[in-house]
Amino acid sequence: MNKTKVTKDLENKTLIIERVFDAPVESVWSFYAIKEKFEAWWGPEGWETTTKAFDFSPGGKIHYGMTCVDENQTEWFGKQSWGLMEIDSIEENKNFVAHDFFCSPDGTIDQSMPAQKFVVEFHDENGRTRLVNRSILDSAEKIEMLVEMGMIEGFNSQMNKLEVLLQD
Amino acid sequence: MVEYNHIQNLDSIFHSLSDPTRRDILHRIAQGEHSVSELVAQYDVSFAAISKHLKVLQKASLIRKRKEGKKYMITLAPNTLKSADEYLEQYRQMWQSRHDKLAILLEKERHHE
Repeated sequence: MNKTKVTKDLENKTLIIERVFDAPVESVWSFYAIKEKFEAWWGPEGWETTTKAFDFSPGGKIHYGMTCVDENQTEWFGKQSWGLMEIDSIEENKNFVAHDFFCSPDGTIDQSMPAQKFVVEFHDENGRTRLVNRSILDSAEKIEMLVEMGMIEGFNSQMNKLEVLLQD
Repeated sequence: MVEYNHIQNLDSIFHSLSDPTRRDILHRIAQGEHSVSELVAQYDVSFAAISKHLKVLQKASLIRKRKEGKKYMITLAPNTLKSADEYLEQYRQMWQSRHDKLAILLEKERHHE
């Protein structure tokens, strides 16, 4: 089976998650856009997903809960975690932009946890689909901090060397 | 479920590493311990600016600071970058598991057509 690849873009605080699926773009898209299909795959292995709200349209919200139903995942079994995805924009069968928040079962956003911005792209590759999920790791507080620090002129990055360091 | 455990740590590590000066500082101290003033001397910015960068790095547990007489010495915290990569690998596995499910469902759908 195909492998999911994760790459880091430090400069942009972005994790890029990629996978190629042997299916046309429209099919892959439908697994985000249709409630029952989304619920069928969103939870990782051993986790079941239900949605309390599902509106996959610009400005719409998806309030989802994942429950661990796998007894072998001892520390997680029976645990639930809730998330709220807010859809910013949609270009059908091409991409969508969303924010993902941690929340309570009633949908109240947990402000103590960072929100993530997702840009999800669907690329046609001769009838197959490359699904690219750009996950931007940052919280509002930290953006402010960065603006403050941005006034300081930086030096050329040692990114490659640090990449090596990160791979240790 | 790494996402819920470690995303906060990754968030602060990524924030720290998004700045080229901070990456440069980390690279320097990865070669060995430096005093704060030695670090300041390497850059064309104020002491306050470097001190601020060091605070960010310290908050993300990427560096350690100790006092030696009148000097502050900075070392690399060895485990943070390593655990960042472990988080990333767990994160990747979570997505892999999600994607494997999706691949199977797409395959099923194809056979039903």
